[in-house]
Amino acid sequence: MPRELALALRSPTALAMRHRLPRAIVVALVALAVFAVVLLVDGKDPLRAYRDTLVYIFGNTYGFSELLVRMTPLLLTSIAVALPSRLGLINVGGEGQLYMGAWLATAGALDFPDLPSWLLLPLMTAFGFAGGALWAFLPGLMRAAKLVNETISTLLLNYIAPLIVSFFIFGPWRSPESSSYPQSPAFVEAARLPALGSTRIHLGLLFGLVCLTLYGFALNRTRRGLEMRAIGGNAEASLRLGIPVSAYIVVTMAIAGGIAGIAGMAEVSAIQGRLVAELSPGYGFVGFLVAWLAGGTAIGILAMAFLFAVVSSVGDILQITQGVPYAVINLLMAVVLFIVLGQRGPAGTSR
Amino acid sequence: MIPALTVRENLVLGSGRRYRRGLSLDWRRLVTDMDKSAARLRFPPLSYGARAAVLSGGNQQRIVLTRELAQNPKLIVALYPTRGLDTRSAEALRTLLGEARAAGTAVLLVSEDLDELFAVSDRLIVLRDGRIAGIFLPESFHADAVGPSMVGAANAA
Amino acid sequence: MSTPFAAAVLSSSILSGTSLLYATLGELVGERAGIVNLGLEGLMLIGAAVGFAATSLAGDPYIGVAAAGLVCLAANLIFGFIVIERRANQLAAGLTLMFFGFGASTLVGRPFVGAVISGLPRLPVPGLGAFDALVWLAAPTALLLWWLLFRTRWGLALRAVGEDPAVAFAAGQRPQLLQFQALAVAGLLGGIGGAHLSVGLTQTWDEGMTAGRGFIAIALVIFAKWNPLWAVAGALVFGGAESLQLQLQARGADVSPFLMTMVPYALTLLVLLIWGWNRMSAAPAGLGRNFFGVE
Repeated sequence: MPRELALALRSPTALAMRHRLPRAIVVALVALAVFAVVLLVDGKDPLRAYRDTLVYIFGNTYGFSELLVRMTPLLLTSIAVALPSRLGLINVGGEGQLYMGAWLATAGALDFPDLPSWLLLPLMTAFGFAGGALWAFLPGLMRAAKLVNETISTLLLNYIAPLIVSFFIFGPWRSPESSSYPQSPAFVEAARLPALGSTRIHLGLLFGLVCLTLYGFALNRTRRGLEMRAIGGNAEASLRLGIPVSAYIVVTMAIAGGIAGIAGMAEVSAIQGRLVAELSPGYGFVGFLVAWLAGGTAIGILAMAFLFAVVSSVGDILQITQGVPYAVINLLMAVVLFIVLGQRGPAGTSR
Repeated sequence: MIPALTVRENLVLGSGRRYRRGLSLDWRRLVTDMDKSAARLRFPPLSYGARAAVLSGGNQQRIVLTRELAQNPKLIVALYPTRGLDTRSAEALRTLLGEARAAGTAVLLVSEDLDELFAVSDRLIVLRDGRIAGIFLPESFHADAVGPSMVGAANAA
Repeated sequence: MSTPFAAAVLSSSILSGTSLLYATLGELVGERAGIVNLGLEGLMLIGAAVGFAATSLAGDPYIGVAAAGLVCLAANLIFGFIVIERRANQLAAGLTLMFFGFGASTLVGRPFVGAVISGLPRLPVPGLGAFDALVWLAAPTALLLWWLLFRTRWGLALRAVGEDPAVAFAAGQRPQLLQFQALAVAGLLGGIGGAHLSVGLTQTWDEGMTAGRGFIAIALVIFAKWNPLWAVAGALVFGGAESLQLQLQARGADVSPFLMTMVPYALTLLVLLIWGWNRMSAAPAGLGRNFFGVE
């Protein structure tokens, strides 16, 4: 196939640290500017809207907590992208892995309703991890066996996973109460991840932060992390050095998928309380963008996930208070990203 | 060498299991060993933090040599080691191999450079079509003796 | 099964495969020039929305399709600017285009939801069904592209750029210009593909109505080994899987629509797997690591 294409599909190289902070600021500023333009066009006062919004988000505990709630799945799905990217693998299957994690976790919740919370929740978490891991393990295996490139296989599996979920919601797991809007029966109380106080912040945030820390630590301080970075640098040389590249591919993909699967488990357990068809507004894809913008580093992911959560919150609040339709958020975010992407990278390089 | 990684990281990766310590790595012992090896080889001090990608070909070879010789191997197999090196580095490398031999290490040098082979070998083996076509001792180290074996002439030794 | 069933499935396959084919052909041209567009899904959505809206406004489906093609051509050129001129990461830019398409299409289509339009007029084929102009033109378009790519100097230059822009440049070509041209074609075809869904097939507009076809098209390009003629076969097969599901459902067969909808994706994966197993590499000789992951 065209070689330029092959080269273009290599994993994005991590950006130098000095590019990252300015980039984050640029993203934020551009987003705000673009939102402001839209508001002006719509006859509204952007400054007032922003002031209200910022007060809500940062001056209000609940508002800030919602920010963290939004950030949680992004933390997890972006690690799911960043981890394999260190090996040079491209995982765009975060969506599917999230759905499969949610699906298997639901199986756990529905099949073991009588277990106490301290048993059920870890079980569901394990199931969630397993579901997502399976969904990434298959592409990993196919890639390690040099059969199918993981970009395409994870992409395709992305579409199969929600169909599996829908199949179960419309079929074996259909909740008897709500026949018009198919969903699974509500989870028992024991299957719900506890929230923090009166907010919606849940353990998923802790998972995310722990995973992020482990990711950063493992990659830079352990032998395994070094070997992973070696594979990402030059897979052939690594093989000759005795590093089991295939094993790393499979295991890393599985772990990455598992992490996205936990995001799915958190969605059904903490946020939804049941399995529904519309679980994710693109968390997997946004995770890819977060990981990419973050240059694959742990700090970067934290910053970018937070940033995206802020932008998304601002957009949501604009929708509610100013009547800006939600699709505009997608649009605006895309425009912002285009602008960021459009900044010229280091001369002569493909970023 | 993995260009994206630092010299230090390349050194440790190429040393097999040697510097593993549980989950992490024994950097200090690595640096000690490598410094010793580099000194013995009379190389300039290694810049451990540099990315391998920015090093010249000659420097990269030095790193590899430092790494391999650090463990006092009993056998060195060198495959076209001077290919791509400038004359000075190639000469230094050949001297090194000689020193290793003097220290008791067995050296198997695979090369297509006859001059090089003639200069350093104790014994020369010519391979052709997967078989040994001739074995030569230093007395016979010149092209007319060795040449025929290389091309498969009938009067090969 | 009785003949009417087979005919119904075939006819339905052709109808639903058409938009897939256009999108696949477009993506194929782009990839031949070395550019992968993950945002094809979003592009098709824009095509569908704009096509529907324009048809509703102008009262003429052909105008609608043309508008869709042109708008998507422009959108793809913007994508091209970012990826070619600014050298941004293609995957990230593609996903961004996807989000852009989701948002833009929803906004464009919103005022027109539920509008009644006159779809593309169809010409009946006895025993098979009725097909609109885009269907009739689909296979010829594939043929035209095949000819363009493999029998003209433009095509040769384009493929050279996809192989190695540096070499192409040394040979006197202008890689960037060619890539833009490729993306223009890709945008046009992608938009037409999207428009066919709303204007030709269903005569409706719905948020997200492409339902992953954009991604299937990307897979189909690989399936077709970057050859337009094979793309026709591929689009037919996958249109077939979808239509099989619909026909079975219409006949009261108790098959879950979700399982059937899975078939095209699973099938693509299976085919890619088998193909990988056979190591039938479509990669022209001497390539670096190819997309398929086969060394």
